[in-house]
Amino acid sequence: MLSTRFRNRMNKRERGILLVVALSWLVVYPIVMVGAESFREPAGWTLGHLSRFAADSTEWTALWNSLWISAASVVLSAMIGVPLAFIFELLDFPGRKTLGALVALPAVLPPLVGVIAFLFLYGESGFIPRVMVSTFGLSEAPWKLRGAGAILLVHAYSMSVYFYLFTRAGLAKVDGSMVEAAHALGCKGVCTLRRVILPLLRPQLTSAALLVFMTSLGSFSAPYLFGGGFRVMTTQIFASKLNGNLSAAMVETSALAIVALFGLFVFRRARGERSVVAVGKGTSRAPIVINQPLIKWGAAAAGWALAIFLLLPHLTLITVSFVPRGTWTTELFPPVYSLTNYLSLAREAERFRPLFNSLWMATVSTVLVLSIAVWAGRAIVQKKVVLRSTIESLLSVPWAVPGTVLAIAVATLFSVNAPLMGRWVLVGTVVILPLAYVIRNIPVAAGSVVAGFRQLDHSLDEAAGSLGATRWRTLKSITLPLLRPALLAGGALAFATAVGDFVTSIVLYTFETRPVSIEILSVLRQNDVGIAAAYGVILMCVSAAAMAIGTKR
Amino acid sequence: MSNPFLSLESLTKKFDEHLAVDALSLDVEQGDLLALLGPSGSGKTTTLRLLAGFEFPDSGRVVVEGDDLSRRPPAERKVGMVFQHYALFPHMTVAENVGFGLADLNKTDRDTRVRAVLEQVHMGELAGRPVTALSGGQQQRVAVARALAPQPRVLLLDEPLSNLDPTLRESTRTELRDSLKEIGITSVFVTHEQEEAFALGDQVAVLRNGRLEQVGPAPELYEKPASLFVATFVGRGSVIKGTLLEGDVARINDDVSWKVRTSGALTVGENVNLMVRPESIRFTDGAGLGGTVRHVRYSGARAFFSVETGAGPIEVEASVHAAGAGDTVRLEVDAVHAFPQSDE
Ligand SMILES: Nc1ncnc2c1ncn2[C@@H]1O[C@H](COP(=O)(O)OP(=O)(O)OP(=O)(O)O)[C@@H](O)[C@H]1O
Ligand SMILES: [Mg+2]
Repeated sequence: MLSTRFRNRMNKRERGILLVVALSWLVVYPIVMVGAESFREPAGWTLGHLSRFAADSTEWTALWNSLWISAASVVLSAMIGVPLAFIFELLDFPGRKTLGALVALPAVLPPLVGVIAFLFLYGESGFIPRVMVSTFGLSEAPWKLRGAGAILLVHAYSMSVYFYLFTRAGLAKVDGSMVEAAHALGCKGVCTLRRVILPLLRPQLTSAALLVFMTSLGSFSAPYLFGGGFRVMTTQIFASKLNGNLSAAMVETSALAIVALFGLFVFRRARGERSVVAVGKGTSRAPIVINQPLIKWGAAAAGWALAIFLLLPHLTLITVSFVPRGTWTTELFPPVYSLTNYLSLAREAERFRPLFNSLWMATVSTVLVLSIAVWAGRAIVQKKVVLRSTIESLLSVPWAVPGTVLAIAVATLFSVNAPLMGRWVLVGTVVILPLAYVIRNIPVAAGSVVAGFRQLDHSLDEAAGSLGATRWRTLKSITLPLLRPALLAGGALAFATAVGDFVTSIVLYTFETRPVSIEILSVLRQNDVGIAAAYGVILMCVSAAAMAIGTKR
Repeated sequence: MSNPFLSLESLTKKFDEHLAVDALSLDVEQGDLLALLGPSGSGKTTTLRLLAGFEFPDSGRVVVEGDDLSRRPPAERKVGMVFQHYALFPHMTVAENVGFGLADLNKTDRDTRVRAVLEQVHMGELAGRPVTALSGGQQQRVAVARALAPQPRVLLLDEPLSNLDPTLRESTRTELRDSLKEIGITSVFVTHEQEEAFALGDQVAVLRNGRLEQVGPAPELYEKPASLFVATFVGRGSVIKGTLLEGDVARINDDVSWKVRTSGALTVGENVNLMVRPESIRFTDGAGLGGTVRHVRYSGARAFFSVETGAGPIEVEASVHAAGAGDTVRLEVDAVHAFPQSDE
């Protein structure tokens, strides 16, 4: 007789194995496929693609550019974000609270939208150059928004927020009594900073550095629009793909994936084995109140100047979105403002379509990725340890994979029909983009949901069971309601990423399913800047709304 | 005797190679309260979880009213459980928690039942409160009410009082026993405190390393412990060495021999462990075991004297003025238990 217990246990194990298989298929298999394709030619296996890659100096240049741009982005973002965090955490000045919140503003700009906002602001015909030309009577724009400098500017703008947020979180944990203890031991000022505070911040700083490094390495929008002849690995891959040089794209993709994994490894090492844990209850440390008027107003002025710098891209975008086509030529500021662009988005079916596409694809992929996260979260809190660490590693894999790599990998896997190998032709169908968004968002959704599961008391499940509830009822009326904050937070991030996605979309989209970011690019090509800006404003508002919902408690 | 209401038949549960519950057999009569008592790691919680269906036994059966539950999932067992940390659903009110197990009743019947159970635990007025806004004692009562609401056949309680502060424990204990007796529900509860087990349980089962050492009513365990482990676990007692002579007499040294109660198979001439409770030994002016008072611990009108004797330290309970630290004394016993030295 097959006992219920036996069946039950088999089911549990089988479910765990099924999850591992499903996750591997989604996150590992595509990348392995790309690796394999790097050594394949119609006749069989070959090292030819690899040797062609190694012999080509442009490939090495692109790889080197990717690396140094990423490293420089880390340094720049740290130089802006860390001091800012110290100022806001330690000093009190007028407007501190408001400004502290404004610093997170860059986060609501999807990458491509941020880039076009920079274009409208600092580009050759942007606001700032126009002001400079008219003020100083120049004959042409004082600079061109091109090359490595432009890329770094965008990176520094959008990524210093990571250093800022992580440093503040770390500083909030530094105990006032620790600083006092250091003072009592004769260590003051710079000494306290160097010997007490910075070591305590090390985990946060390395985490922020890792995040910036990985984001820069995978950055596509800025190099694509501003790079010009300056190639990084992501744009190099895209160019090879566009030119139909698939085998080169495969090798390049593999190379970038390896560099990303290497970066991950280095930073993990740097974070250190010993995690520093502060012992004892934190006595909160009130900010230093500055009363000297000069410093006080100086700090306030610097703070507000910074806020304006952070806010300018948003304001630019909004302004441009009200400018009808062809009305702004040589004037310093646009002479005509109207709702035409927005009306045309709402009324013209072909203009509305990308909005609709982005929204439904983001919604569907968010629901799916949350389901996967819940499934995995349940398994992680229940399963035996072996399976648990496997599942956890699988969940974080896409995090270490640049968006371009992921897109190429997904395109490779799903361009062949071999159901027995777990491959179907999905490229060119409506399924492919939502699927790519799901894979890309597994780490953010799972990160939040798994943490939520860890905080759940497992005995609540058991209590529901012993009160006669079925597994489904327990999930619906106990687990999911208690996971709500985690689901909202993870879901909001996943949704915002998907709705503004550019990097995976540009590889995988079809005309019917083109998302907003792709449409922005195409209207920009037709010089329809007002429409592009209007799309950007909508994406910005949708992201901001998602984030607001996600952080609501 | 009629069939017991609840039977554990040779229950065994292994975690990897570790035997958490080892061939445990126990019977509980209808309406009785059984206390599972034992030190940490003795398998109490595991036993309870086997009863509830959160774990399945490797062998053995759980039978309620002749009905084998061993392979059924928790939801089908009609066994209520009160968790150690109560496991109240934090996003629900008191009434919603209590009504959770009544999903198959219509709304009117459910409300009536919820109100009735809450009355039973004196929580009627707080039905609309969120459970997060309750004191520890109130949470405990809601947890009991929630488990009782679906009218389970058996109620399980895991350390039901351990989360209450000591001042509340005694009154809650009495209240809990009164409620359970009034309802007449068959209950099994876990505790590692002898006092709690004795105060609440009709029967007390002492567990050690997953095995049953002894089961019986409290006085029986105290007065006729089956092993040295039970003897020392269910009360205070000093243990000294001796040798068993004929006629249930144990020899302590050349001058002193005491009459003993024996348990287990003992042979004449065997070395034994002798257990004396502090209240069964007294100071005497006549012949007895000699010793010196090392330390006195006062407890109201009575005091506990630690006496160093040639056979080892012995604790004596007597009136405060019976002796002082440093005094040389002689001891006489009323009751001594002898156990084989192999059973330590
Ligand atoms: N899920 C499990 N996996 C592995 N070992 C377990 C598990 N649950 C219990 N054990 C082991 O089984 C033994 C009995 O544990 P159990 O929790 O039943 O003891 P207990 O009597 O309730 O102890 P305590 O008074 O500390 O709660 C212990 O050695 C424990 O480590
Ligand atoms: Mg326990």
